[in-house]
Amino acid sequence: MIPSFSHTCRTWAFIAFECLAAFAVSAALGGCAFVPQRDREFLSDPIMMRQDDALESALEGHDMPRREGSVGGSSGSGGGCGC
Amino acid sequence: MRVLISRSAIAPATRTALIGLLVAGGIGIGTAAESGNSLELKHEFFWDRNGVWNHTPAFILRTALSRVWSFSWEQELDLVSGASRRLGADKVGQFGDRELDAVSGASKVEIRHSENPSLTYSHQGTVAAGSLYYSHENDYTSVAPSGSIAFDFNDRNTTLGANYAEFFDDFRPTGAFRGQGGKKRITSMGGTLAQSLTSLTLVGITATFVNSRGYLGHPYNPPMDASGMMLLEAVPATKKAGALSGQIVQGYRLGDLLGSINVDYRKYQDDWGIKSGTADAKISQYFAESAYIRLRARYYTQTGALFAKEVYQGTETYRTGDIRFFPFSSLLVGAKISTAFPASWGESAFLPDRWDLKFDYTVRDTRGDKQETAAGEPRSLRYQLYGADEYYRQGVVMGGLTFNL
Repeated sequence: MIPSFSHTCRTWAFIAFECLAAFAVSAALGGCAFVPQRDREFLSDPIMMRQDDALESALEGHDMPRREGSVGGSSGSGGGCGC
Repeated sequence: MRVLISRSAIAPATRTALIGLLVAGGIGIGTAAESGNSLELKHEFFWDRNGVWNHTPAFILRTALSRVWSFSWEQELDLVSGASRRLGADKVGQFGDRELDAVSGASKVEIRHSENPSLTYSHQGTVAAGSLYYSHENDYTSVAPSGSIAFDFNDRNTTLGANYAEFFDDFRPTGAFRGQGGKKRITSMGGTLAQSLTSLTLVGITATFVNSRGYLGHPYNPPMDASGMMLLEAVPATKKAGALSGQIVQGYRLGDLLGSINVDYRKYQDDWGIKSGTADAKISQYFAESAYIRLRARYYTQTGALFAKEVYQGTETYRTGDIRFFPFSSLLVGAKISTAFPASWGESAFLPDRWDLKFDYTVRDTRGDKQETAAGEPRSLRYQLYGADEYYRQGVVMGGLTFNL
């Protein structure tokens, strides 16, 4: 029987691990670093951001999963099967 | 007013722009913290080794409604040729003079469009956004209201964000598979934490949970038995998935020019047994004021669903021929250039302020089928177009223009 009970449990365990990891990182990082406002010029630059181009990222999120045939490679959840 | 986008010109944009992207990346909410008016145009061209192609024009229009409210409209058109799950399947179609693909029944040429209006509130380190995504093609419709919120604290060195989206999808297959399909509901929620460590170092972590239920299959890719006879696809009606990603952006100075290394790793797992990992690295370097190049490498690998196999007996509870549920890996390499037009072009709003051009090239292997071959299964691949020693290759070229209005 798929999905099995054990697989469902492992998935929930993974999700719980996510939450714990996020909490741990939050606790570890919160207040541990302080960058004054005057020193943040470079942090605001597009190339210092995770995605330097919002529209490019949106297109990739829609199109890459169906072109690549992947399941977990992007954060896109729905929005058309493209087929 | 037309101005060059220089590092100093964009400096007022705070790190909340990053969190806006981090939180909203999956549902297309734009740069939440930007307050100016702009129009960004893109045209993407995709092709693969079999001559299948996509043309995808798109734009985002952003406009400030007040000091704290802004509105954006994201529009995408997708002219698709043979986008079957069977990678690169061409000569397929289900209307007009276009041929039907005997196996998949997927369309040779069709048009998909999507709209995503969003409204954003941004004030004193708090960014809240709501959007309504709509996508339609001849056999698939998706509607997704979504919302996100992000808070800056620790004197704006730390940002915590959350997002929620509910997808209402409706899959109505055509051609030989008419009558299959159905409605699908997807709930997606996530949280993101971003932290400035130094003036050149930023880290972030994102957790995502996705709960899908309803019709989760894809009847155009039916499974087969040992004789090659097609069987009806049957997959579970629910799927729970979780993903965890971490990213670090490290800047550096090369003389007076800024550069950065951006590394992102994403781990995914669901209760169908699919696990995947994605490593994505980018190196960006300014080579002049307001002009930079970006080099990228992305590696993706996934395992298959527990019920996915090349040959079925027909008695299994679940069966699929959908290549998304089989193991494989892929490698993407790419380059991008983005630069401002010279100020000597003048101040007209009808002239663009920036242009960009990128090229991505992807190679996808068929590792899973090799495993089946080793187990004594037929050497010819049933669910992909290629032999076990072949690779599926594809490329994307995208050009863009940005107007500061």
